[in-house]
Amino acid sequence: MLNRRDKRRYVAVWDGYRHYDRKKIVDAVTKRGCELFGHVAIENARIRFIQDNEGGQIKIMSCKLELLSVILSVVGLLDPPIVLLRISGTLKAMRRELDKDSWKFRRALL
Amino acid sequence: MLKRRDLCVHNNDIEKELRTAELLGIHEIGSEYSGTSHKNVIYRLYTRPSYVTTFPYLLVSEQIGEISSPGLDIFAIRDYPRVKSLLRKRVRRGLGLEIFINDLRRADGSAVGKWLEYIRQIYKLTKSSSCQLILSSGARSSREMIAARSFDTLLSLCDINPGVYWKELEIWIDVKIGRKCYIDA
Repeated sequence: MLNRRDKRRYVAVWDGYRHYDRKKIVDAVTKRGCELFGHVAIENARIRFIQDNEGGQIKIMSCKLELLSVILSVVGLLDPPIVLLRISGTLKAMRRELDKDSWKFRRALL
Repeated sequence: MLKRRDLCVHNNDIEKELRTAELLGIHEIGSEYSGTSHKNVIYRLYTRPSYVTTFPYLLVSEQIGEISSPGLDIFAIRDYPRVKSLLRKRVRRGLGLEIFINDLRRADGSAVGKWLEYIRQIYKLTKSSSCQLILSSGARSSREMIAARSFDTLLSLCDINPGVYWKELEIWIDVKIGRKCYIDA
C-alpha cells in the first residue's frame, strides 16, 4: 500500500516581542510567504500552528518538508521578527529538544 | 566544521546576544565596542583606533565617499541603486560589502525581490573584484537575530552556496583580523 501522507517538519520559533498569537503567526507567515513565493507555494506548504510554550514566546508550527526552505526564508524575513530555534521531524522529538534545552532558552531568550 | 558569523548585531545586551547566538548556531558576532571586550565578538569601529587594542575589530562605513579610504574593511550597503555605479568603479580588492537582513525585513514583497537580485549582483561583483559579500542580520537586539539555518536558506535563495560562503567569510576575517595589531587578552 502506498504511503500517501506528507512528510512534515516541526519548526519552533521565538516570538520575543510577543506580537503574534496562534492565528496571527500563521496569517503573518502566509501573507509574507505569498508576497515572496506566491499563493500556490504557500498553500502547498500547509502551514499549521501546533502549540506555544514558555508563556507564549516559543511557538511551534508545522509545514510540508518539501517547502521547508520556503518557510525558513519567510521566518527570516518576517516583520516584527521571529527567530528560528529548532527544526524537528516529529513533535515528540521537538518537545524533547525544547525540554532538554529549556534552561538554555530561559537564560538566553526570556 | 563551518563557523557561522553574524557581523552586525547592535550592542544592546551583548551577554544575552552571545547566549542567543550560541543557541542559533552562530559562532561569532560583530558588534559596537562599549568599553569591555568579550570572547566571540568582533568589534565594529567607525574610526581607526589610535592605540593598540585588546580586541579584534573591523573598520566599517556606510558613506560611499569613504569607500576608498585606507584601512576600511566593510562598506555597508543601505541603498544599492544609489551607490551601484560608484561601487563598481571604486571597489577595491579585499573590501567587505555588507547587507543587512533587517533592511529586507522592513521592505515589502516587491522590494525584497529586488534586494535578493541586488545580492546576486553584489555577489558577482565580489567574485570579479576579489571582495567579500557579508550578509548580516543588523539586529538591534537578540529578538531580531537570525539563526544559522535561516542564513543558509536566505543564501541559497540568492543562489549562493552557504558552505562556500561561510568558508570564504572565515578566510576573509582571518586575513583582516590577522593584519591588525591587537593584543589578544
